[in-house]
Amino acid sequence: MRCEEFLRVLDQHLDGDPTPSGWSDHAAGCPRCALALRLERTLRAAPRWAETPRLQPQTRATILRKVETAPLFWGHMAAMMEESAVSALVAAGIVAMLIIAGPALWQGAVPETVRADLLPYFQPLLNGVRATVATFEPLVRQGWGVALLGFTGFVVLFAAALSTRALSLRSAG
Amino acid sequence: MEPLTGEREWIRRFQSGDASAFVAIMNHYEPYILGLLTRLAGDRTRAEDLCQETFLKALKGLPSFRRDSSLKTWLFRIAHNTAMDQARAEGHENDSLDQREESGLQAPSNAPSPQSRVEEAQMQRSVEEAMASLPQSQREVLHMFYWDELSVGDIASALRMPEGTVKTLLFRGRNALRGRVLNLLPEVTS
Repeated sequence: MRCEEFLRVLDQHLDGDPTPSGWSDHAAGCPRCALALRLERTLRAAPRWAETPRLQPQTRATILRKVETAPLFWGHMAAMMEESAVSALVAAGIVAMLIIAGPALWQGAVPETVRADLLPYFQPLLNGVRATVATFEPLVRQGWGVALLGFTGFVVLFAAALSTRALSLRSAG
Repeated sequence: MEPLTGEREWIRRFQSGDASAFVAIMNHYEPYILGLLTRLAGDRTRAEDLCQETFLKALKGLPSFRRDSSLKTWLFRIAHNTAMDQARAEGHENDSLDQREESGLQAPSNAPSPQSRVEEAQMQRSVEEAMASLPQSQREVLHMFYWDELSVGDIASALRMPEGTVKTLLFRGRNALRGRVLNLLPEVTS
C-alpha cells in the first residue's frame, strides 16, 4: 500500500466507512503514515489531555449578578405570550378565511351527492353556527362592530393558545 | 462531551423562574464553550469576554428556548455567532494566524513510560500549535469534533451548515493539521 492510499483509507475510516483488513500495517514501516495515525489517536484523546478551562472568578461573578437580577419569570411569560399571540393571529386568519370562503368552498368543491349525504350530520352544527352568527348581526352592522368582534375573537384565541401552552409545559415537566 | 444530567428538568426549572438552574447549565457547559472560544479568539482574556457575552445571550434567550431542541448545539451556536460578530467588528473575520497562548497540557494518565509521556506531550504541544495556525473555520470544526466530541450532525446544527460542508472542513482540517504537525515534528519522519 502506498502512502496516498493509506491516508485515503484513513480518512474513509474516520468518516465511518468500512476499510480493508490490515490497512494499518503500512504505518509500521512508514514514519510519515505512523505519524498520521499517532496524530489521529492524539486528537481522539484530546478531551482527556487538554486543559479544562474555567472562567475567572470575577467574570463568573458578573454573570451570576446578571442571573440574579434577571426577570426570569416575566422573561418566560413574555416569550410565551409572544408565541401565543402569533398562534392566535394564525388561528384568527384561518377562522376568517373559513367564514369568508367556507360556504363557497362547500358549494363548489364538494359534490352534490356527498353534500346530501353529509348534511344530516352537519345540520345541527350549522344550525348552531347560524344561531350564533345571527346574535352578532346587529353588531356587525355598526361601523366599529367588526373591529370589536375581531378583537374579541383574537383575545379568546390568544387566551386559548396561552392556556394550552402553559398546560402542555406543565404536563411535559 | 458528558451530557448534562436532567437537562430538560433544568430548563423547565429555569423557565419557571429558578435562577439556580441557569447556574447548573452554565457550570456544565462553561469549559466546552470557553475552550471553543479560546480556540477561536486565540487569547484567553478575549475568550472570557466572549464567554460572558455568550452566557448573557443564553440567559436572555433561554426563556423562549424550545425544550425539544438541543441545548448543547444552541449554546454552541450562540458562542459561534458571538465570536463571529466580534471578529467582524474587529475586522479580521478570516484571520488564520492569530497567536494562541500556551495551554497547560496534561500528560495522559495511561502513558506507559516516561519516554512515551514526553513524546505524547510533544505531540500534544504540536497539535495545539498547528491548530492555532489553521483557518478559523477548520479550527472551529476540528475543535468541536475532537475536543468537544460533537457529532458531525451536531456541528452542522450548531453552525447552521450542511453536514457535507462540515465533513469537507474536517477533511481539509485534518490534512492541514497533518502537514503542519509533520513540519513541527521533523525528527519523527527523519
